[in-house]
Amino acid sequence: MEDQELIFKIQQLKQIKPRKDWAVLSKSQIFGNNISDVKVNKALHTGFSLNPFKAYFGRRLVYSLAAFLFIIAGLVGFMKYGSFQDVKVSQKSIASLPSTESALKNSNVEELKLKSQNLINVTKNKPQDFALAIKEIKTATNNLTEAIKNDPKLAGEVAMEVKNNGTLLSVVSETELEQASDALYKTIDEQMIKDLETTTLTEDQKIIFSEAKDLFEQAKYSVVLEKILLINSRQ
Amino acid sequence: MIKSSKEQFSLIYDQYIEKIYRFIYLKVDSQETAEDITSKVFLKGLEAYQKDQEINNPGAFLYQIARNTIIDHYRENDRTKKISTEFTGEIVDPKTNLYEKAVLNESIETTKLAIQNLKKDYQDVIIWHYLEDMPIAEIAEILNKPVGTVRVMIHRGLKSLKDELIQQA
Repeated sequence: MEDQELIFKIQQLKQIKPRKDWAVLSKSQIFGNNISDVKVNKALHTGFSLNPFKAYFGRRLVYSLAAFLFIIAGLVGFMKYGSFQDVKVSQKSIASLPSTESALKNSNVEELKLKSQNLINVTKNKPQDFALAIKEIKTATNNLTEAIKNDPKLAGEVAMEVKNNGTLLSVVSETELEQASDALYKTIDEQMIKDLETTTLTEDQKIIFSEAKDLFEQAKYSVVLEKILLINSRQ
Repeated sequence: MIKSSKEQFSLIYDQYIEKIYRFIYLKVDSQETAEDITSKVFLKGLEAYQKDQEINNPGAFLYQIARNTIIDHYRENDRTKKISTEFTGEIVDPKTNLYEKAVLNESIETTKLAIQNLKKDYQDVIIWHYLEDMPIAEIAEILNKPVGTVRVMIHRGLKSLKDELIQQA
């Protein structure tokens, strides 16, 4: 048995993950209600106000105002675009904008995870499809890198997922794949370093940040991401 | 805005839950036990974090707690076993087999068993270095051993694992 094959077998153990529902339950048991839960509870409490009269008319006023603004926006849109058809198209595209961004992030990350998993299965069961699996994962990695370049905000959002899920990219020692993986980590690192440079850091965080920048110079992009996530966890 | 210690530690939880669970799962017999010990590790971690204990490296800190909690578990288990074999006989947890059969494929199970048969120190360095991609310097910090010693341990651990797997095949 070659060392490479043995390391691959060890890396397969990354498939061992805790059950999601248990992880969530355990977190809530350890940390109790977090800030966002409290916010949700407060909102619910306002909805079931002890003064039904105030709540009813209060909400009616808010709805009336919202309806009024909606009509105004509609009229402005109609005057600007000239026809009902155009108005529909413009409203649709504006409404779908935030969800498209989020979907883009999720689809890119999910695609990468899926292709990484596929690579493991192919290596084990269909060695003849290995080249294709490598190509697919490389494309998925490049797509995610491009998405981050186009929207740098994504870097922070996908960093933890890319790091935690490991993406299994390190399993196979393929030069092209290593390059794609490095490019992805580098893009995320660059953006997050840029963000941290404009953030006020504690002395402790400054030391880690300086280490991260040194590691970046040494092109150890995966370790850099680990350091950056460590800084973020202390903010 | 500065986050409370609880909020800060919840981010550490998000970052390390998978790694710590995996580390523990590879050293115990069932999913249930792994979940139980993982919860204890984070609870102990939070308590220490809230006491303003200085934590420079959360990963090293959590792995250290995990190692100690696993030792406690086996000590406790030994005591329980003595009582149970004397009075009630061996208790078999059906969930163990069910989980392992359903979730883990044969190759993973074989590797897990081979790792469990290694010396404890070898188990740790193999998991950290090859599974969690931890640099040798960081492992040396956790084990409080020189880098050279850790490098030798990794080399020997990998060789032992290879022997175990060949023996199982």
